[in-house]
Formats: sequence, structure tokens, C-alpha cells
Amino acid sequence: MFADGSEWELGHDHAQECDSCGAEPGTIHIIRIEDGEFVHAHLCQSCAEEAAGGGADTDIFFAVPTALAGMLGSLLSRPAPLFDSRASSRKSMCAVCGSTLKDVEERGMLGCPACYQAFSRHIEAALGGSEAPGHVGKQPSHGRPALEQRREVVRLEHMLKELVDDERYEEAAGVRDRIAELAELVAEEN
Amino acid sequence: MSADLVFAGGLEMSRNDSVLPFPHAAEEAQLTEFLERVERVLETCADPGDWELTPMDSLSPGLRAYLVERGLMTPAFSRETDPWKGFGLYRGGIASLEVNGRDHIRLMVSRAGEVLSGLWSTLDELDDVLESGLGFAYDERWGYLTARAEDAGTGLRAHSLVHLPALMVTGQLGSVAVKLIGKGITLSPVWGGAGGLFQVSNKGGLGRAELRIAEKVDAVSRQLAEQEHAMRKRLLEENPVQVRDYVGRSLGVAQQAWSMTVEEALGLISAVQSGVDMGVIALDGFTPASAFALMRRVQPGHIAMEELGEPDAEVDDPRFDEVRARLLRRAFGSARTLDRRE
Repeated sequence: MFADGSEWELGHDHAQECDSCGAEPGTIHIIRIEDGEFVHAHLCQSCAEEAAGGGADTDIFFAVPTALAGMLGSLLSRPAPLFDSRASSRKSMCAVCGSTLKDVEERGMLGCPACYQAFSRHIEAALGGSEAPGHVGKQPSHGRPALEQRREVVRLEHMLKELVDDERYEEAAGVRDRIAELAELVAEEN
Repeated sequence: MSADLVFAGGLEMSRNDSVLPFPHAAEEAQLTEFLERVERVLETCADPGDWELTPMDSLSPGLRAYLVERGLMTPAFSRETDPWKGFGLYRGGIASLEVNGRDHIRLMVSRAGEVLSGLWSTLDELDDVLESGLGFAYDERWGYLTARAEDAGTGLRAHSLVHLPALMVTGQLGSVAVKLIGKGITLSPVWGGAGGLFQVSNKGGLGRAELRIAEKVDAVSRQLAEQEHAMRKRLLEENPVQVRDYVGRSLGVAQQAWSMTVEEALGLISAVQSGVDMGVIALDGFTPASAFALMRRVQPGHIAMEELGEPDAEVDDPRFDEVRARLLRRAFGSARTLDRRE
């Protein structure tokens, strides 16, 4: 019932140049079955069309888009226009969950909802720049009470973990008390 | 007629808590607490008994495989065994729910022989129930927020299963797949391409509303099914001996074999279905829907749960191959090849 792409973990592909011409980004992931083995290749649109047009008669031959994980990665490996240097772009961090751009690149996944603000320029660039279509469709119909407090709790929990790891127990105790206060507030409002 | 080769369809919707880190970055305690919240919401907001929520450490291998084969669980999630990951079943399988997989929530509906746009209202209503109690991460620009940025927006993935053996063997699908990518549609093999089954699905959740996404996948699936019918007709006209030979041999093996792998069984069922469709094989009541039902019944999870009744049976158990061959002998026992004059 589910396509085999999910088995191949295509979401973790790192971006690369077209395997055929080497000039354009390999945005299409081609999979052939040759002698019972899966053979993978990353091709650009025009090389993919050429390869597909001349496909051998009996080869099973598939194409799926290379995932965004690689696109985010490729932004980092080129001189990033949004930042002064690659090093500074890697240092940008989400204040809520502590994910860095490097973490996002390695995992192919964002750390938390607030990462969308922290890395908005990178996400926008990866999804097609300012021309990228916005969201169309369903919207939440209900309010979300105590959102800010809950966000603060998550931020503090992350801080608490780091303080405990650094054995800074006195500061950690203060943070823990603050978490308890906020949690109580959230519970009351709910 | 053309829609008959669209065997099944499903919609999946990804949602996340508005604040918590996404599951891969969250602490166990946060995920455990989230799973408990989902349980409370399902108990209080849905009708009693509608939802059955189970932690992933308590599902048997046979049941996991069965759920994947029925489109109720994703293959990646079926390998999860952490107690803070949960699986929910709605009214015995109308819909299902994965909690703390790639995203906090993945809500799914899947149905044999129904158009996708018809499934949207079910999914929409169940999403409303969950949202009323959980509050999902949402942004004006990016829509519903997901762990992978390319899923953000509607968070919706629409997919349908289409039977395309003739397009596959004639090498047509590669160029079709490349063209479809440009239109935001992915064509990929299911079950390793055995039996000529392919999945048509959308990619990306931005710029198009849910119902439009479902309609688009429906439309592409129907077009592919029409092309498949045309190709079968052409194959029979241009290569009658080869087609009759291939289909006839497949039926012979299906009627006489006593042990069979899944891949072989899928290929044989596919050949017999095509044969019936082309008027080369006579088998009363064997519709495309019965072919799909049989393709499911020969899968390991279905054999473990329905034929053997042993949820813990190992999938390399040799009895699976025997049971599979028996299912085909029974299904095709009365089939016969037709002479050109008949």
C-alpha cells in the first residue's frame, strides 16, 4: 500500500550534482533495477528526460524528486548570500529547542515549530525563494491558550538539561522552579 | 471503466504540537506526556469506543505487517517499538493514527476502490476533533508545520495505487514519471514493482488546498489507468501469441504450484487479471477489485493474521509459501484460457 520510496529513506539524500552532466543539481532520484539490484542515480531534469526516453524496454525504471534535506544542505555548501560566511550561517540557532542550522542539515529535519522562524530565510530559499507559494487550505479554527507560556516551558526545559549536563545545579534549581510555576499557570488556563 | 485499475487510495495528514520539539528532537518524557494527552483527547472529544490507542511496544510482528499491508500504518512506523509511540485505530480501521513518529500526529484514511476526494471529509472531521484538544503548530506563511519543511502547508499526502503492468513492461513509466515530477506528482513502485503496482502521490504541501491535491492525484491516476487499458489492447493486437503465451503460462503456474514467494504470487495475479481484462482468460466474477483483494491476502501479515491466525509467526516460515500457493490454486481453480474463436 505504501510506495517503496519510504523504505529507501530518500529524505536523507544529500544534494549533489547531476551524475550524468555534472553541471546542474541532481534534483531527480532515478532508480533502476539491474540484475535484481537497485541502482540509484541523481540526475538533473534534462538528463532525466533523456535517460527516461531511451530507457531499455524491460528495465523497471523510476524517478522520484530528491528531497529537501539535500536542498537545505546545498545552501550551506555554497557561499550563502544571506550570511557573511558559511561559519556564521551554521551558527544560527533556534532559541526554543537549541537546534542549529548544522543540526537541521544533518538530520534533514527541523527541531521544533519555532525553527520555522529561526531559519525562515533558509527554508524560503530551499522551497523556491520569495516566489514560493504560500499556504492555501485548511486553517486552525480554535484558539491556542497559553501558547507563550508553553513555549517558555519548552525553552526552559532545554536550558535545564544543559545546566544539569554542565553540573551547574544551583542555576538549574532556579530554572526548575520557574518551570513548575509556568506549568501550574498553563494547567489553570487549560 | 478506466478507474477500475485504480485499486485503492489514501490520505495522510501530518500535524504537530504547537510548542514541543518534533519527535526526533524531543525528550522521552515530553513524548510520553504528549501520548497521554492524545489519549485523553480521544477519550473526551471523540465518541466512546471510537478510537483504540495502543503503545508500539505491545504490537505483534504479524499485526504490524498486516496494518502496513492495509495502508493503516507506514512502513517506517511499523518498525518502532518505543512505548511512547502510539498507534490508534478508528472504528475498526476506517482511519488510523500514528503518534510520535516523524511528526507528533499522522492521521490516515485508506480505502479500496474509492476516489480520494471522497475521503477528505472523513479526515477533515477527525482532524478537527484532535485539533480541538491538542492545538497544532501553524503559521500564516507556512501553514501546518512539520518536521520536514517540504511537508509543511496542508501537511497532506494523497496517494493512490494503480495497476500498470503493461506500461511497466513496455518501458513507458520512466518518461511518464519524469514528466509527472514537473507537475508536482510522484510515481513510485509498490512492493518492489512486483505485480506492476505503482503509487501516484503529491509532493509538497504548499500552494494548493487539500481537496485540490486529492482531485489532482485522482485525475492523474485515472489518466494512467486509461493509458494502461490502451496499452493492453495494443499489446494484444500487435503481439497476440506472446501475450497469450505469457498469460496462459502464468495461469498454469498459479493453478498448479504448491509453494510460492510473495513476488511470484503478485506477478501471477497481475498476469491473470490482465488476461481476464483482455478477454484471454475466463474466470467468473474476477474483477480488478478481487485481484487487489487477493494481492493483499498473499502478503505475509495477512497470511499470519487471517490464514494461520498466528500474529507472532516468523515471516520466513516456509508455511507462508505453501499457504500462498494454496490461495492462488483456490482462486484460479476454475479459470481457463480462451481460444481466439470463443
